[in-house]
Amino acid sequence: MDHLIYILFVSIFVPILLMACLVEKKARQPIIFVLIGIFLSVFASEINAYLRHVLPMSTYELTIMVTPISEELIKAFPILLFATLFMPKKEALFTASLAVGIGFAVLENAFYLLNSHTFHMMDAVIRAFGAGLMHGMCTLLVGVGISFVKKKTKLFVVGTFALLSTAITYHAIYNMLVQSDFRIIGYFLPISTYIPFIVWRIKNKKETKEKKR
Amino acid sequence: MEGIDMICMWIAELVPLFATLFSFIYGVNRFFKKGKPLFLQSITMAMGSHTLAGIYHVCQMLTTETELSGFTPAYLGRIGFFLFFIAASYGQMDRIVDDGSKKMRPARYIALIAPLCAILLYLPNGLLKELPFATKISVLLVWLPAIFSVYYNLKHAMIPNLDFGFVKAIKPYNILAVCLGFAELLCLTAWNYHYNTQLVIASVIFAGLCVALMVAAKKGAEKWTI
Repeated sequence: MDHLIYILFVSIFVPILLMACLVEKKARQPIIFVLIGIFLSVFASEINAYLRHVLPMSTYELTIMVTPISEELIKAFPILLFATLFMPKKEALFTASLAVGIGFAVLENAFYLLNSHTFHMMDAVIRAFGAGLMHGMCTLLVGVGISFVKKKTKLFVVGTFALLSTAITYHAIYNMLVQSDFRIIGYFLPISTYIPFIVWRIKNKKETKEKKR
Repeated sequence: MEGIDMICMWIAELVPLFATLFSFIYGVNRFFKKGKPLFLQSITMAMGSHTLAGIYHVCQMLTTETELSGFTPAYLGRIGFFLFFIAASYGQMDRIVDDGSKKMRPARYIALIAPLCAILLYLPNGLLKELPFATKISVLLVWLPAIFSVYYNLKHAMIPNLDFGFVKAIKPYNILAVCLGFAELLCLTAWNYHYNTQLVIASVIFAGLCVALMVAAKKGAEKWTI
């Protein structure tokens, strides 16, 4: 039997790719980044499988110490390329980073849920608001941060490493909490960072609009 | 672990955690606005990164109940903390403050005292036999950005006041940033040596410096005339 993740990859990636060819130019960019995220999810699963094989660690240790590093680096790569090669505006970088994170989470969630023998609606909700949002938030952190530091080379190099370190720590906290007795806190961690972020963004946009007037 | 040791460890974890969290929220509210200097946003992110490192430690203490050793992502949070400080000082301020002229040379040389002290402070950690090799390397990875961070902050604290008013205005922030960097390194050293009293003292100093630094940065930026 073919590996499940590749079956999922083809069944999700291809229809979205076909849609990307037809939609308007403005809508195409986020879709392409979702596709990149989906592709990176497959790539990360292979890398993680290799690391599991090579490193003498338990699954628990691996998910806390290794996979946050590998996954955050993999997700940040297209964002870094996009930021350096195309010099996009802040908003474009914001959308691209969130799209990569969410695309990554879509395939990962589907894979985890189908791999579990007894999954319920509740599991899907938890994974959607938990791991799904967590991947989005981590990549968003890197993307938003890069939009601030990309103007100067000195700042870009140091700032990118700093942002990656922060994203990896956040990811590791989530992975540790969801595997512990405090899993409820873990499930709420991404949404409890998402809501203040949205509030800050709306507030910021309002202030900018008022200043323009 | 004995009761008193446990209490000391919790104080050493929670006091800096709340201080950095407070500083982060303060920074997000005050500094993440259009027109504010990027260095203010960098130091806010530094506080955020340290908060995450603190949360990671607390979670690990709660979930595994074992002593922390070897590499943990909490070290990455601390590396991020110092990297954001470098981004603020080297990435942002250095090009404005240091024009490369001869007048700045004494400040550049005298500031080397800070990285030398930081290197000396690493030696007790590197030479500690009980410390696992992985932990020594992890601690070294925190030390490397810290060395650069304290150098640039001390340099900017000592640079002569030329025509720019902001050099003087930002000096208290730079002095506090040097102290904060060393307080963090002392915390790590005390942690590795299990010196509980020193750990608590260093943590409380670190927490106080975090809050003072944010206020000093805000005041400095207000006087920013360029």
